[in-house]
Amino acid sequence: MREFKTLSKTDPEFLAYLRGTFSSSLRALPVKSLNVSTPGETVTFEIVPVKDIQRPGALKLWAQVFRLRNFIYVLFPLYLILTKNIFDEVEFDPILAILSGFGALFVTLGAFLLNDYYDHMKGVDRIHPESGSQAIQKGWVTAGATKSWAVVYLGFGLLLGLPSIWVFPELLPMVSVPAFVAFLAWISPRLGLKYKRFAEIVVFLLFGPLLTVGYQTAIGAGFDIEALWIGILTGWHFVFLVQLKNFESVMVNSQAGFENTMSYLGFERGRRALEVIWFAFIALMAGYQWVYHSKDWFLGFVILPVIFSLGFLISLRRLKSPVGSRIREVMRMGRVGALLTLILWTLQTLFYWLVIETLA
Amino acid sequence: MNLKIYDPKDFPAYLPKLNTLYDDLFSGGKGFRAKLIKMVGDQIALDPKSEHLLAQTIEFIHNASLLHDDLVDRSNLRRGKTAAWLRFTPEYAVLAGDYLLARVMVNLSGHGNIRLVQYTAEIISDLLEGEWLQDSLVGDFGLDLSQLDRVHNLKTASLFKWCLRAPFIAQERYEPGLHTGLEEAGTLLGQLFQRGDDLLDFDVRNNEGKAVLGDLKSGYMNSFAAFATSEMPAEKRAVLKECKTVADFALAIGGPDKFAAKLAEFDQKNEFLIQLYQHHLKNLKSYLKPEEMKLIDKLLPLTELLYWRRV
Repeated sequence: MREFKTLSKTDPEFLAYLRGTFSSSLRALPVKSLNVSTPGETVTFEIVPVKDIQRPGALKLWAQVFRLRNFIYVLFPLYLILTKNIFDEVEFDPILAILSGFGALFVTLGAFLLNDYYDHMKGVDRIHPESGSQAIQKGWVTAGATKSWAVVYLGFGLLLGLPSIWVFPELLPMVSVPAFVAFLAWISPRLGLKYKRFAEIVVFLLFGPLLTVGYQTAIGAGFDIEALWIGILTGWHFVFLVQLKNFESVMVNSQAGFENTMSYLGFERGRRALEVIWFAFIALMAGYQWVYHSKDWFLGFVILPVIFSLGFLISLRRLKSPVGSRIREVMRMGRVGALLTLILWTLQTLFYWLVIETLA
Repeated sequence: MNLKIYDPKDFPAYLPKLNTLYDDLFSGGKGFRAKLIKMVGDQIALDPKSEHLLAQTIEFIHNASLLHDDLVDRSNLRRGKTAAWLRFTPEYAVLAGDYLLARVMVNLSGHGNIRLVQYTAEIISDLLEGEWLQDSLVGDFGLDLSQLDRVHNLKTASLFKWCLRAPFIAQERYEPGLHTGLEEAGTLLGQLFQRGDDLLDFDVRNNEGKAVLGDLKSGYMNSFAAFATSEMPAEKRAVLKECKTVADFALAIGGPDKFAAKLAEFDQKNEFLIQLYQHHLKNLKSYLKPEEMKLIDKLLPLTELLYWRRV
């Protein structure tokens, strides 16, 4: 016989169960609710002994907890900035490049963990049980421990960034933006900041211009327009991925009252918006290639991304339901198209490395 | 209790075919939802007039959905008889469904409890959303159970939730904890009913002798089909529509042993929901008066009937 416990927000034990601090030998796993319009007022937990929880191997567990896959969104822009400076023979400080690079990684790691923690505390993971790292939902780690690690990694990240801030105080305003965002997320009463309309602007800035221009400044290479271009592209690319995810959840998000651009636009207008966002990305990429590379690259970056995303664009138009396997498949095609475009961009930088090697 | 008539104006005799259509529709149904209302109403001492109104309301909503559903699905039979849209006309079937929903609003608003009217309208809206979504899923053989649960929560469970909550609302009892518990219990009951019903399609515990594989043949993956085929590659799932018998289906998923294993796994998964349902019912005790405690005892065994189909 399974053991369940239902607690309301006003119950003194509520937070201890939600954070997982009520017992060292038991875990309280929140049970999924289909009644999405009432998240978080009461929560039903399944009480499971820690020893009965099945965990994957250590490597898989930590890869999933830390969501290593998502690191590409930080590492790739940093890689582009470094290669750009090397190709353009711009001088930068390698020590600061390493320190601030790891700093950005640790801050991202902390932010993802904090995101999982708040999704859990605010009931988002009971509405979207498949969201986040799954580590808290499956009882592999407690929410309390997740938050503690998040704080440690955020602190460690900021510590690694301090030398750059000390040397280049103009970085301070750029660092204060993420800090302000974290503060807003903290005080957001019901759901996280990401469930506000136009949160994608924040996402765009954090994974785009703020990251690339911030890193360019942090390593001592000085501000330049190309770093801003790169940031606009990586930020826009990330926004496209976020919108794919939001479109996939458009029904549940709308039912739960989550406000984001996709739930505002709805199914029909939402898929048009996805097309617009993707074509705008191709246009921005083409513009970047035209200005900073050659006409051949320009053509390649117009034609190939369209080819990569052709299946996605056709299937998106044929999509007829906001639930089911097809919407998942179409969104997967969109992600593949977007990933192939990043691979193409990587190949371009490798081509330049090859040219440098050959010339050397 | 005559569920067809609550108010003398319910079915005017001057409208051609109307009474014949409804008499045909209302005969042969088990009236389970109305019985559920009576079960709850009796235990909480709901006045007989309100109980009659609620019982009629739920049967009207349910029958309206059947009239529309049969037309949308092009089902030829309902309760072993020719479906209304075929026996009369599609136009009459649509109008008859609309008329039932209109009568619901007329009679309920006469009761005077605006919260009850609002909640009922929400449930009708959920039901229609569920129908709409289900229709958009025809031909999708890659569906998974969690996605289907969301549709069934709108289409099926909404009425079960209403049956549990509406008698309390009619008594103007609005404690949030009571309604959250009833909402969760109703959701689980509806989900279990739907899953039990979906198993009949595979001739499992099919004591009613319901036609088999109806859902699959019309291109719709029901909960057991989605669960049993979850490990199959997408291209293999597409051939499921060709299955003519349950044996064909069993073969398609890996043979009779695999079918039996999947069924056992499915039952085990639903046993979890049954235990969760029992937990929510027990939690309701703190919101009930001492003389109402029997309600829990009455509701507890319902999963035996609705999922396990043990009478």
